[in-house]
Amino acid sequence: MIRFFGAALLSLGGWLLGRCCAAQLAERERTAELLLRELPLLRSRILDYALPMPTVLEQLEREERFPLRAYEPLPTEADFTQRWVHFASSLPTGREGQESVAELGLAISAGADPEQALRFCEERLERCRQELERKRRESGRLYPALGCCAGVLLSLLLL
Amino acid sequence: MDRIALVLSCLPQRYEQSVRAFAAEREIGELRLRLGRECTALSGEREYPLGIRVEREDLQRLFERSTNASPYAVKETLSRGFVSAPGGVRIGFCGTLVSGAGQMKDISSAAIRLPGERRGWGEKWIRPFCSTLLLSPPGCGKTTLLRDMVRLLSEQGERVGLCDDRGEIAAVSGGRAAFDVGRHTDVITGGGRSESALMLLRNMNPTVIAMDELTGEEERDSCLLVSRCGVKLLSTAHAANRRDLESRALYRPLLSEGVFQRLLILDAQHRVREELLS
Repeated sequence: MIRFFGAALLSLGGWLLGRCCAAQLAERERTAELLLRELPLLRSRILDYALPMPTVLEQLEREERFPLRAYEPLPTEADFTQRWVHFASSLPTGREGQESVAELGLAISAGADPEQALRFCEERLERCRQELERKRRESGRLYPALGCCAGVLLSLLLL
Repeated sequence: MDRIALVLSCLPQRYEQSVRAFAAEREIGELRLRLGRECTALSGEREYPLGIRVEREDLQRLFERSTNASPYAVKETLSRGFVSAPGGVRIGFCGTLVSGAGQMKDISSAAIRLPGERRGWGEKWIRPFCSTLLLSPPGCGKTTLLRDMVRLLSEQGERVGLCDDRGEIAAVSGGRAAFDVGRHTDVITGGGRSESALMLLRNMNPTVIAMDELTGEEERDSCLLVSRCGVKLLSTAHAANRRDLESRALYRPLLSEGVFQRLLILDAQHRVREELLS
């Protein structure tokens, strides 16, 4: 009975692990969607009002429109680009999404045309979101099933 | 925050000690950074080395900090080669201009110009006030004297319209002037000087219009218009003396129409000589 209970626990653990991985994929996709949804707002404040990037980010953070939790923790003497790269690397969007966001800030602060930089970022983020969506569809059910199977296999081996 | 601190906030920390030590001994007019060379401080007419070699990262940091990481927001002034930082500090950049885009890349040098303030300097020339042109080569204190005269005129009740296209005279930031330009002064920052002068003339009913550096035909024409409307003018021009001014075609209509009644000629030691016209 105890062995059977242990095996059931192991299988359940495996399934939960798989679910966590699937949830991570979904979270990445949601963040990419959120960024894509808020990019027009960023574009409007940059292109229509010519507000400086740090001001725009402060506004968006106040309005809770952008996932900016990671923008502030660096010391005040840190440059904007350091803060931005720190923020981008904290995004749960995977490497492609992080790179596209980091490049946006770096390009704009170096003097690139903000319209082009925003369009390029949007295109990359959209590709990233589609890729994440495809992965989630493919792996959303696969990971829990794999986790569960691994748990059963481990139980059988231990038994 | 004092102006040296404002400038230092745009530069890497290793500059702080040398700049502060120099500022304690002499007044800094400009800090000059040239890639691969020693950073220098301009005081009076001489450049003094500060013993720090300028690296590419220093110029990049200065550019990022002075533009607030948003060159697009200062595109208009940047296309003219400078950025107005808070506190009336003006930072001029040299590098490769991206043709037609109003952008600059590969920055090779920068000049950080710290504004001076000498209260009471213009006292002698405001009672009675007639349209005045301040003359001197660059770096002799025209803008400083102009600022002080604007403040004094404003304090004695004149409605002064100030065209501050480079944000150097009043140094307005967030709607507030960093320099005291008087109680009755209305300031237009940015834009073209001639455009600002006409806006002030139409909308603010000024008795005096002040603008720095008459350098183009548009500004000259706006001065002629302002003068014909009976508004007094206070302005500056790059010229060593009256003869130098008269030799330039740009200024001849101003002199022949009697737009200015007085010249104040400054020299490198900040001495002022008065010459009455007409």
